[in-house]
Amino acid sequence: MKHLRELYRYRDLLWLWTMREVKVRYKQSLLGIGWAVLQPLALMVVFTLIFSRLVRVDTQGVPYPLFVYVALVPWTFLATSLNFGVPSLVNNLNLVTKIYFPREVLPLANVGAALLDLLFASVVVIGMLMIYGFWPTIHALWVIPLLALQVILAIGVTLFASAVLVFFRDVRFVIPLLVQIWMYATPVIYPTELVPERWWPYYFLNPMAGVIDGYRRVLLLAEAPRLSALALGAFVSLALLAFSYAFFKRKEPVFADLI
Amino acid sequence: MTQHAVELHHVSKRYRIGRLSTFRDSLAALSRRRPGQAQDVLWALRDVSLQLDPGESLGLIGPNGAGKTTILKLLSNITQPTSGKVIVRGRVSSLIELGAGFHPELTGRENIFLNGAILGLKRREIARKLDAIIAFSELERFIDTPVKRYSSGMYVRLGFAVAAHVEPDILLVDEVLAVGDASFRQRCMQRMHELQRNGTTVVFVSHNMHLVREMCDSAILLMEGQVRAQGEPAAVIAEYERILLQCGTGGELQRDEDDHPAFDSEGNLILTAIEVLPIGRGASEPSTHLPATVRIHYHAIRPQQVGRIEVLIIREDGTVCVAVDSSLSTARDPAFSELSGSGVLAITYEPLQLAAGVYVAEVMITDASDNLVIASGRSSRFHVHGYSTQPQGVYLPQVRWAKQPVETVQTYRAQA
Repeated sequence: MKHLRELYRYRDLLWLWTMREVKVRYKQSLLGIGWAVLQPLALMVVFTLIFSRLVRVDTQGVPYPLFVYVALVPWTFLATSLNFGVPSLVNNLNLVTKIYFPREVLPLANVGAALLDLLFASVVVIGMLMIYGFWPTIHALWVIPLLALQVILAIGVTLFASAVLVFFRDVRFVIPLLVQIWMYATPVIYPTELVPERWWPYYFLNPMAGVIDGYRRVLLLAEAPRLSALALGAFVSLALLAFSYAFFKRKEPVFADLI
Repeated sequence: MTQHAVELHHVSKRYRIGRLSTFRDSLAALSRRRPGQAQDVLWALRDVSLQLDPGESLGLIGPNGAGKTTILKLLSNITQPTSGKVIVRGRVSSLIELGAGFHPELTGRENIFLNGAILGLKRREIARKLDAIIAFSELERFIDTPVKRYSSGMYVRLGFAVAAHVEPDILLVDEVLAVGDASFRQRCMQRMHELQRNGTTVVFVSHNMHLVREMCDSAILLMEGQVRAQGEPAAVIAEYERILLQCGTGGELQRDEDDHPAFDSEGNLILTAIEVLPIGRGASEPSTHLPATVRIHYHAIRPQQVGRIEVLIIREDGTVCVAVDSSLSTARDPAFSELSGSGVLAITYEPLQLAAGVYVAEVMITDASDNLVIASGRSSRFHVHGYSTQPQGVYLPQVRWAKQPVETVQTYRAQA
């Protein structure tokens, strides 16, 4: 509680640092924030070529580009959070060793910046839904809790991994690998139905599986998400967040000595 | 009885030197089953206790690696003591890392907000102080320029301007970063005095004995993590100078730089005295038309690369009257690029040509990269004697008066 109150006192720093991350990332690039759209878009083209031309995947009648883009945008959010958020403590060593502020601001701001990317890329998702004629139904409102769940998960993982990275620099190399493996354990490029149903209790322990599956159902199939999968995912995410934050704050006092 | 603003109770801080930073190392350490062997450990502080009343100013002096920086880190909550207790009451701000968190791609204005927020200010507070901060930094024209285009002096000026406007209860100052030009440094000192008057508690790390004497109510001499002397600044400084002289080349004070990378690399060069003396028979004090010399007594604990030596003569009212800079003169001589052992640097003004009045000489020496001040100091106040006790102007060159016919003047103009 004490920690949350302190974090709240530094909320302006969190906001300013988030904006800093966004500005800095795109300031010198030609396309600017357009990259937030282009990244998942490029992957969409590649996956579409592979999975609708070379290998046929059953997407329940949804055009494959739309099918995969709806998943790639939220997936990119998680990947960006991790790729930028995990090294944030180590990368800002001069700050961490010289000035006190709640350290979680740094990883959190990177999750925040990734979230802004996501919102930007969502505009394209909406455009594609319109073009393909998938008009939103009442189920589309599920997007809000799905997004919330995703943010909780991203914060949990990023906080934990960024703290561990301070102690073990090897984590820097593990993260990209983990993100890749994690993507294949999540129904991003294939539909959930491809996974045998008896595996589902384990499969949905991965909160991203329930989330991505949920986005597809509410946006493309106009159905409610699989509630049991989401409940499991929510439980895992919240437990992870609580554990990560406690771990982070426990280790925080020694960060400056180790970096 | 009021509460202390700062209390340290038997504080010790240990650093492990052989840091475990990869899985492989820590696995190896596990298998050895002997973590923390004696030689891996450095005690940066050992059983240090001190109290500071609100509004009190403390000077921390001592050689490099004595634990001064560690105390600042403990007070700013960056690091925790290994044993003992640190109590700090009130908002802490530090002038340790000026411009921390500045991002080169962002503009001065954007960085003010960011830096202010890092120092614990709210966005609204920063917005309110924005004009004052910009005015203080004197960077009005460049405030919307990315700071990557700033010179290092501009960078530090902006950083100081933000830090100086935090209005903390407790201010931590590391003098090493007091760079910038003379007039800016003067405003920094003014601002610190202002904060002191308003009741801010100040902890001041300095190699400039004059400043410690002038600014602090008390001083602590740290050596090898322990308190060697504590009390009146004058007495503590005297003790430090006695120890320095005893050590000669500073054998005992020398410390392996690699012991702990977080320690500042400065403090190897100490200016033990700065005097201003007249040259000439029978003169006891400098006077306008006689030569004078500024003598800088230095003691280098280890040979020290030097970038630039700047000597200012400042009038009582703060006007910088003369500035000489080794980078602009014959002192570019390689003999001036490294200082070792003890010695005297002498700068001779022949003649002095300063109007009668009261002045001080200020010396600043920067490192080889010319980014950091590695040593600085001041002479005590000195009088310059002259013909007039109430002179106009500051510069009294010897002039020749003449009365000439008009044609000469015209010729002169035509040539000009």
